[in-house]
This record gives sequence, structure tokens and C-alpha cells, in this order.
Amino acid sequence: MTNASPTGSTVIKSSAERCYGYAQPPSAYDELWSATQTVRRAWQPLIQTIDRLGCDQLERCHQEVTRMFRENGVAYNIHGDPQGIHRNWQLDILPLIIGRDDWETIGTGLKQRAHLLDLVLKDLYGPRRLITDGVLPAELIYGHPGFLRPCHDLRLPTANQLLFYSADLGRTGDGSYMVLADRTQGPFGMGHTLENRTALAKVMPDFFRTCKIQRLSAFFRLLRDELRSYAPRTREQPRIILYAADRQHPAYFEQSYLGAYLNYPVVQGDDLTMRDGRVWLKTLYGLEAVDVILRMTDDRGCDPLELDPTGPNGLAGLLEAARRNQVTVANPLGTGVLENPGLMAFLPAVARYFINQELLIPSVPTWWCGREGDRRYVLENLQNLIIKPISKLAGEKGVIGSRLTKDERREWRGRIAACPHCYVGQTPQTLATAPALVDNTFQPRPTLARLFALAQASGEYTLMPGGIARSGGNPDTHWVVNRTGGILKDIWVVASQPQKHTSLWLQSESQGRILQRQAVLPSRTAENLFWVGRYAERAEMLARTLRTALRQVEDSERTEDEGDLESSVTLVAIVCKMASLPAALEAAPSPISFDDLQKTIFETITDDGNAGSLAASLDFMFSAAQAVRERWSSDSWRIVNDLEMHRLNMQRMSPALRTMQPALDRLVTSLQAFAGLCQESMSRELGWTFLDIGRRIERALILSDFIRRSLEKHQEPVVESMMMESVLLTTENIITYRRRYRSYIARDTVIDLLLLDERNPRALIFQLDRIQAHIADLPKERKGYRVRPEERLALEASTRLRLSDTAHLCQRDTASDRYPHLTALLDGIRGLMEQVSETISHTYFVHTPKLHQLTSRKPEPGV
Amino acid sequence: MNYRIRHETRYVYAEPTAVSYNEVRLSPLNLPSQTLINKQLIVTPRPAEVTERIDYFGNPTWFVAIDQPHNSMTVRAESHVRIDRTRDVMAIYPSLPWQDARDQLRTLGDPEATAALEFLLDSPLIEAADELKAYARPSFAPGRPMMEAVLDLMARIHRDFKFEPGTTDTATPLSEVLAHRRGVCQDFAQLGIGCLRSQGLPARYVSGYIETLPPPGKEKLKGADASHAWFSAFLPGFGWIDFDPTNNQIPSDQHVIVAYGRDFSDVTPIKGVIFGAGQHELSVAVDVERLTSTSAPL
Repeated sequence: MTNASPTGSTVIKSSAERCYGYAQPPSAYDELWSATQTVRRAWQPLIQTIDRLGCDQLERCHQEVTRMFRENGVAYNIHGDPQGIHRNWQLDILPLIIGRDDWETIGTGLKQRAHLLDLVLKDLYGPRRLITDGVLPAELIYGHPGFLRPCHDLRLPTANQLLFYSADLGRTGDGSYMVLADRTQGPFGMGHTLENRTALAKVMPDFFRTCKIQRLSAFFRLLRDELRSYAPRTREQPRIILYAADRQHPAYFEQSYLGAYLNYPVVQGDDLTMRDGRVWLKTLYGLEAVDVILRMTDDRGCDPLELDPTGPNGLAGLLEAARRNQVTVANPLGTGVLENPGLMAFLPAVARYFINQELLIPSVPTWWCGREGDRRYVLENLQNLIIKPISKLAGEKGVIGSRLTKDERREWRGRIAACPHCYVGQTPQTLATAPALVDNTFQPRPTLARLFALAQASGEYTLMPGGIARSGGNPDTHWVVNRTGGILKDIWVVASQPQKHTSLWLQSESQGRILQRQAVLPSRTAENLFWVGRYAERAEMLARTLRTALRQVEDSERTEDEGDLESSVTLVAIVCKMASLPAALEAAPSPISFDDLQKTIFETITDDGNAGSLAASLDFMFSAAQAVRERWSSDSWRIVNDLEMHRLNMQRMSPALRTMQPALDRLVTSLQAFAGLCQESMSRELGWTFLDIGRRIERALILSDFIRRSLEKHQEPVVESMMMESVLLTTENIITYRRRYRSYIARDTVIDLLLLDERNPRALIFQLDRIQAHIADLPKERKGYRVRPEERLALEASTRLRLSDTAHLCQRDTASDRYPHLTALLDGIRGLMEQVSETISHTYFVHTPKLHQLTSRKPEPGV
Repeated sequence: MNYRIRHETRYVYAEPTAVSYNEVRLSPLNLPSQTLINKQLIVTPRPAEVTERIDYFGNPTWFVAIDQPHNSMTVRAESHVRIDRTRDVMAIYPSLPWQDARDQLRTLGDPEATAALEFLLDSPLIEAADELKAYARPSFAPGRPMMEAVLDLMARIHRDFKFEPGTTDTATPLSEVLAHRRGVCQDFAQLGIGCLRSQGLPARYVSGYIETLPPPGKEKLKGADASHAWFSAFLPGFGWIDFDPTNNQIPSDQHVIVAYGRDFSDVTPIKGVIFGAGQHELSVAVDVERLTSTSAPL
């Protein structure tokens, strides 16, 4: 293999063809092959590396990346709309490579466009000369739901108003570039770009060494600097937050990834409040002023007072705070007006009007139906065009004319006639192809690039040297509107010289000082961590109990022993009560059969319609963990994904002992691994304290409940021993117990170990001690000697337990045949723990009551 | 004519609320035909802040934030205005046919006409509908002068629709108003707007007050007035002309203008959000008092 010889490219070609059978598609522009059937310069290092490493190596990288993404549960949704189907995208390890000359062309073209859209934005929320001077038709703007009238007097202190601009850029058949869509709400896809790059750098380091490509970190460092400079007032370290879509939104994942990378708290509307004209973040230490908001959510939903009153993720008063320049929202509210394909029909005129230039990169040919000539053209050529609404905000989607039936075409004609200014027609484009690794072969796929520009204080725009490319799922996709599947690619921009590794970390050092700042813990985050702790523990305890119950049932089936069966029934009944499931067993005919027991256990595991089931506990845990995605290490997150996989498998499980037992085993193992990681790899900050308080409270609650229910009644000696063994087994105490007390099992020693042994991490007293210690670490609002309610409650619980005496607890009331002292103690502690949980939740967590709109009386003059 | 206006709105919540944010549009406008002599806004409990700005449509708007727990809120707006509307519209523009008025919107190239195009499109509470077009048609015979056509439309609304408070609320769609032929001034104003827009003519919503007179020989009752609403049509080359379909008259010296918008939703007198309380009760008292030269100023 020769590298630089004139014949090199021929060799490469044959090699690539041999491995992957990549042949240039007829008549279209291809990113890899030039017209003369040679590998284009920008791609040569990549192809050479593939040749050097061998074709199999590439396939291995591909499998590795697929595995990584599956484990990370990456949910792709780069369209940013809730209906978008995610997880159907896969990352292709073959990047889209952009050479230096092309990058230069793209850079100047997109910067010009960003600059122009910035001028449009300033004008539309200002003098609106474009309309009065007849450059833009009134309906195009006034009839667009993204034109937010309350934003008309917003003005950022920065030179530019459009701080982030993203473009969907394609290459046409002749190799020239074209903008297919402008994105101005927020930099959707920026988080994905980072994620993709991180994954590829891990999987294929050789390629990054040999292909001289531009790194992303310098751009993100600039982004952080710029955001800091947007702050309305000078502060040593302005507080910047990432305002994310709500947690159920598919885009939440990439947003939290970006937030974690930039080290910004990822928040929602109800984490914030507006007071004294400013925006504040609710943290555990009180309200903290926010200076800059990186907005990743649709502007219309941002302020229920002045914008959409039904927006669930809004902050009442945000617009007023922004209007007074007390906070900088980037992008500012109102930028959605630019996401209007109709604007493309007028952009050349706008460019001449504002800057007396032609567009360097044209838009896709667009006909706006609000113009009579355009409308006629669209109606006559419906089958040759793509028809789109000027705004997606009403939920309407574009259609490909050629795929419409005759009736549908008639219906669309009707729609256009009823509201001409609401629609555009655009010509479908045959996009240039780039190689994608599909089924171990290179295949040419039409490819579209999402690129990002950032405004600098100087007024210039900078392009991120990278981005995210989408390839059609099929070779003949001539337009990537197919949202249900496809291939994502990293974009590599060729560098002029080898790039040094930089990261966000270097920055403070280069400034010669390290600024330390108290880590901010939003109340909402603390709350979610608390619930992750509680639900993870609940799921683990439930799974363990169910596992023990299953084992019992199995034994009794095998031995057909009366005592075995009785303790099985008791145990299953206890599990049902712990899971607050309707006592299915009570309804079962007597004598209870193995099938009934098995069925009950199965329901306790899988019935997610019931909040107490194992499945539901896991679901609650996932949703809390997802909400604080940025807090987990990649290992912890992988385990969460394993758990999700187990959870999915549960749904397909049959109620047979043979399938339930291993499923529970796997679950317990993963839950323990999760607990272990939380213990070992989370730093002991306030967030961890809340996680662990949650876990300890839940364990204390379940322990006291489980022990009480298992041991409250006096039973036949055989049954009693079996119950005690089950309790020891379930609570992971059996080995300790055997070692200490050998084979003799007795109530007093069991109670001693389970309740009062301070060195036993599974004992009740151990949990209470930890809870007390954690509570002492929580931020205190009031100074002085007053004992806070949660401290008092924890103290009371632990004192009651410490003052109790095993002999006393083992005293049986012969009349009822029960153990009243044990029951009283455990019920008391359980009650206190419930109160601790409520008090903590009340004191530290965000309680945003539902928003309520005040209305005005209808004018009704008494005439 | 001089008026003193007092407009008091009281909200009582079902449970206490810690914070509330409000947008208040209760200040009469300053216009060539209407001079705002003074105004004030009094809110209880004492707000953390009250700031004033001019909104997109040119209406003075207060932002009011209360950040102490409260069970009720009272917003009292007081103002003193002088009205002098003596232009004779009919004399100036008697004969421009309505279709010409429609077409001139785009051909005139006049900024005011271009701006008026905004009031041609659907707005949150007024959507184009065939029923509106059908109802409007009899007033808009081809070639009929614009003024005559709109006066006829106003008269028909006045004649065909029964003024019946309590039968509609702010969310009642126009189709229902049309079907039942009853409503209040807001419905009639929005109906008129919908009809004009259906003919390709811009129309906007006007919120304000009207002086009411007690029955002969009776004392005027305190707090018995209310806010009022009517519509405004655009005549290219001339400007906006107001029409009050509830009273079948072109507003004169008894009408006080507070705000303009595309429909009620743009000019809601008080719009607010509170946290918590799911229900609230609302009571409103308005006095429009004519000041004679001997009356004490505000």
C-alpha cells in the first residue's frame, strides 16, 4: 500500500471496492468518489486507515459502537418534536467528511445566512420595515404562530439577537450546497454531536490519529465563554442554566447530555421562579439568581402569563424579566418566527434589501402559496412538490406530493385554497450520497448535515467544526423526511494541521486561577435522587422477598409438606401486603393451590397497573433516574439500562417458576450493582446524601413492615423456623446468622440481629443511625439550638429502638397468641419513618402547585 | 366631555396563594380625540412591583407581581379623561365602494394600510367561517360604499341579536353566538370583526367604557357601569373608524377607549396566573362618572 503515490487512489479504490463493494451511484454527486472514479482528497486518510487496519476491524468498531449506544439507551430525536420516534436511528461509524475548501464555502455561506436571519429577527420584533417596505408580505409573518407579539420590545444587550443558528444543509446533484431548513429555536442536535464524537473517539482512536480533523472542544469552550459574556450584569461567575424540554420529551436526553458536558444545571420551568424582576433557581440553599438561560425548549411554552397559558413547562414572568434585561435568554424568545419555510421564497430579496448581496448558499426552491403566481404553480404541480405548512407549531406535517392519492391531492388543494399563506411548495432534492456502512458493505446514501453557528460578542458567527448528518434509510430516499428510521453520522471537518487535544478543563488553568464555586443542587434534583434511592431499594427488597417466596413455593411443591405449604402461603400473603396488592390470595378458593401462589407471585412482579408491584417500582425508579440523567456515571447508567432490559423481558415472561426465578436473580444482581456504584462512585455531596436518605428510609420502612408481618404471630415451631429463615434469607442475614448462631434458630437471636445489631448494615438500627447522620448534614435554614422536626423524628425512632429489649420484644401475649411489644415498636418506627420522609420532602423539595389562570369578567355594560 | 372612571376588580381565591403575576390593561389611551389627564393603579395586597410598558398594539400595560401569601386581590384603576370626537366621518369619505377599500389595502403602499393587514387574518378568538361570510353578505352588495355597508352590518347585528348577559362567556365561539342570536357587547364586536374579515376587510377589537344614564328621574347607581367593547374598521387613506353594534352607533363623546387588539384575547383587562388556588371568585364594579366643571378633579 502506498500512501501518496499518484496511483495511490487507484489502489485505494480497488481495496475499498474489494472490501465493501462500494460503487458510485449513477449520475449523482458522491462525497467519496470523484467524477473520475478516484477517492476525494478529504476521504483518503480514512480509506487508507481502513485499508491498513483491515475491513474486519471496521466491522468490529461498528459492532462496538452499536453495543455502546444500546447500553447507553441513546434516544435520538433531532427534530425536537414530541411525536418523533426515537431509538430507531443508528450511529454509522463512517463519518461525513468535509474537506477544507468545502468547509470554507459552507462557513461563509452559513455565516451570511445567520447574519441575515439576525437582521430579519431584529426587524420583525422592531420596526418591521420588511413589511412596510413590501419586502415581506404581511401574512407571511402575521399569520405565523411563531411570531410572538409580546416579544416585540425584547432586545438583548448583545450585538446579535439570534445567538444560535442551525441549518440543515444538503448537497445537490451537481455538488453545490443548499439549505433545506433553518433552525432557530435552539441548537437541537448539539448534544448528540458531542455524544457521537465521544463514542467514535473511544471506539476508533486510530482513525482520529490518522485523519487530521478539527476537534469540537475549542468550540464548546468558546460557547461557554460567549454565554458567560451574555450575562446582563458583571458577575465573577454568572449563573448559567440549561432550560430543557420536559422530561418525557425525547430530546431531553441529548439536552441533559449537553448540560452535563457544559456543567450547567439542567432545569425545567418549575425549578425556576421570577421575583423582583429576576429569574431565580430554586436550590437547596435557597434561591439563586440566574443570569443566562440556554433555552432548549420551544419559546411559546416558556411563559404562561404572556405566551401559551397551557404550557406545562413555563416560567410565569420570564418574558418580563427578559424584557427588563435581568436575564439573557439564548436564543431569545420569539426566534421561532424564523422557522418558516415561506421565508425562503423571500430571502434573496431580503439579502438585497439589507446587505445588497446575493445568497452565497441558496435555499431549496420554494413557492409560497400566499403569492398568487406561486400558488398557481403549486396547485398545478402538486404531484412534483413537497407541500409544507409554514409552521409546524399546529402539529401539521409536510407531505410528498407524488405519494398522495387523488383524493388526498384534492384535500390538499382545498386546504391551500382555504389558507393560502399557510403553505409552501418545495422541489424535492436528489441529495448527494455519502458512504454508509450497511450490512458490512459501503452503500451510497443521500445525506443531510445539521450544522451549528454561534454568535460572538463581536457580532461574528462561528461554526462548530462538526455536526450531525442524517442518511436516508433507503438508497433511494431523495429527501430525508423519513423520520422513523435512518442513519446518523458524525461530521468530520478536515483540519489544516494536526489538532492538539483540548478540553473544557484547561480553561481555568489558562486563566491562571481556579475558581471554585459551591456546587449547586436544584431542589428538583435532590427530590429525584431521593426517589431513586427509595424506589431502587423498594424494588430490590420486593425482588428479594419474591425470590424467597418462590423458593418456598418450589420447596413445598416438591416436598408436599403441610408445614411448607403453610409458610409459603403466609409468605406470599405478606409479599402481597408489602406490595399493597389486593389480596388475591384471600379470594382464592381454599385449599390454596400451587398455581394460585405462582399466579399471585407473577402478578406481584409484573402487574404495572398496580403501583405496588415490582414492575411499577422499577418504572418509578427509571423515571426519577432519567430526570437526573446528568448525575450518573456511564457505568451506573449502563446498569440502569440493564435494569430496563430486565424490566422489558419481564413483560414477556411466563408465570412459570423456571422463568421467574432467574429473572428475579438477574434483577437483584443488577440492583445490587447499582446500589454498589452509588455507594462507591458518587462523591459524598449533598446529592448523594439525598439518594442515601431515600434508600435508608425505604429499607427501614420495609424491614419494620416485613419483620412485623412475619413474626407478629405465634406459629407452629416448624412454620416459625421457616418464617424466620425466610426473613433472614430475604434480608441477606442468613450467612451472618449461621456463622454466629450455628444451626439453632430462635426468635430472640433473630430479632437481635435484624433490629439491634449496630454493625449489621441490614439491621434496622443501622438504617436509623445513617438517617440521623445524613439529616445532620442537610442545609439548615434556621440557626440556633432548635431541633428541626426531621431531626426530632429520627432521634425518636432510634431512641425507641435502642431502649427496647429483646426479651421484652419476645414476650408473647398468650390470649391472642401474638407479640404485642414487637408489633408496637415496629409500627411506631414505621410511622416515624413515614413522617421523616414527609418532613424532608416538605422542607427541601420544590412544591409548585398547579398554575391557575385568572380571567377577566366579560364586558357587559348595563345599557 | 370629562369623565372620571373607577374600575375595581376583586378576586377571592379558594385557598391562599404565595405569588401572583398579572398583566393589567385598564388605562384609557391617549389619542387625538381622547386626552388622558391622569390615571393610577391601586392593588391590594401591596405588590412587590408594578411596572408599566406599552404593548405590541400600543396599549399601556401594567405588570403587577405580588409575592406575599394572599387570599384575595383587589385591582383598582382610576382615570380622568377628556373626550372630544367631533369629526364627521360620513362627510369625509362618503362613497368609496367597499371592494375598492379592500383592494387599496395592498395597492396603496401606505404603511398604515400595510399594518392594517394584520387585522385581516384569523386571531385566537375569531376564525374565518362560512357562516360569518354568509351572515355578512347581505350588507356587502357589490359597489356599495364602504361606510354604508359597515353601518348596515352594525344595524343588522343590533337588530338580529338579543343583548342577554350571562348567556355567553369569554370562551363562547362565534358560531354559537350566530346560532343563538344572543350575547353581549364582546360577542357583537367579535361578530362584526369576523364579518368584515370574511369580506377581506381588516377589523380590530376595541375595549373601553361607555357612559350609561339612569332611567329618567332615577339616581345613577354606584358601580353599575361596566367595561364595554366594539369594533373598528379600516378605510384606506382615512384610517380606522369605530362602530358600536351593541348600541348601533358610531362612538361619540360617551365612549372611552382603553385598548385595541385583534380580539378580546389581546386586550383582556386583567390576565394573571396564581399558584395553587384552583378556583376563584370575581367581582367587578365600574363607575363612569361625567364631570361637570364644578366636580372635583381626581
